[in-house]
Amino acid sequence: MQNNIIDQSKDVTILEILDRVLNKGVVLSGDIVISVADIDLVYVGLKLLVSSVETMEKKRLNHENSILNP
Amino acid sequence: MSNILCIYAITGSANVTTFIQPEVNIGIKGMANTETFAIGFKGISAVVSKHHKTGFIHNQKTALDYAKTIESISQTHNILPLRFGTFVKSRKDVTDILSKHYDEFVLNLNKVNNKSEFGLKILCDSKQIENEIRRKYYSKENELKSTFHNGTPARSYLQAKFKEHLIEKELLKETDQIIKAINKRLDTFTSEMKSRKMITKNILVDAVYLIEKNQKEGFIDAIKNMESQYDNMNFVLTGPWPPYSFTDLTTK
Repeated sequence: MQNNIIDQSKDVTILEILDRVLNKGVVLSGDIVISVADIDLVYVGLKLLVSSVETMEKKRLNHENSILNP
Repeated sequence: MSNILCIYAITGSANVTTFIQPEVNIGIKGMANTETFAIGFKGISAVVSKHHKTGFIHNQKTALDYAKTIESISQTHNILPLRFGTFVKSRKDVTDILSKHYDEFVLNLNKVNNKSEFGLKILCDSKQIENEIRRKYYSKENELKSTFHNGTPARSYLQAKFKEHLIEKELLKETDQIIKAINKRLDTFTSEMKSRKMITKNILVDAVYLIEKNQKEGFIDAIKNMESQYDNMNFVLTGPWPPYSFTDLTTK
């Protein structure tokens, strides 16, 4: 179970990073900026991030409960 | 095969001493193991890497590499991170962007100078909070029962909907109170914050904070203290991040 939580936490970190680089930061647009591919291919929606955070928290709580009530 | 330049971040400003000298390889790897270098204009620079237009793959790995490069630059420089996927054709395009938006870049660079971003999500067991609200508003439930009593399907439906509405309203009120209490507590550490409430039933608050780097420890301690006060909630704190959420800049 502990490894599972660590994996989940790693996934959440990756999603937090992707949420930032894909959805935040300075946006340069206009004729100068070119598009080389469809960015939507790697788009990670906030919903996915949120559900991952929730899953991670659930697993953490279950893990804590299993320690307190073996 | 034509080359394109990927822009990672804008760095430096007239007031900032950590300005990257133009045209110097800054020793930080970019996407696809490329070298990054700076293109400058009047005391600000864009950190870029060169790529072939064809054959460049946009996927999760390149997006994470992009974030890693931004993270590395931010370790030693004041930066405005750019959104993934910003490519231009030439160095001239980069200097054109820097000159055209010079004032906005400098303004934002000064705003985020020596600061980091932290993310905070506050999670709760919404069912537990709902039950507490139900207990608190037991008398209102009785009122409801007398208003909608007699058990026809339409009335039962209305009763259920109205009850949902009341609970949601109270949950929002409670969330507002929590946000207010948290902001009051974090105010001394925070230069700027943005928050959204109730993005799902279980995530009460999704907030980002811009913090002076020397306030980091105090900020983290304050969050830890607050978490111990709200024992039915979980605080998920992430950071420090480069200031992705505080560069209010979309150029045209």
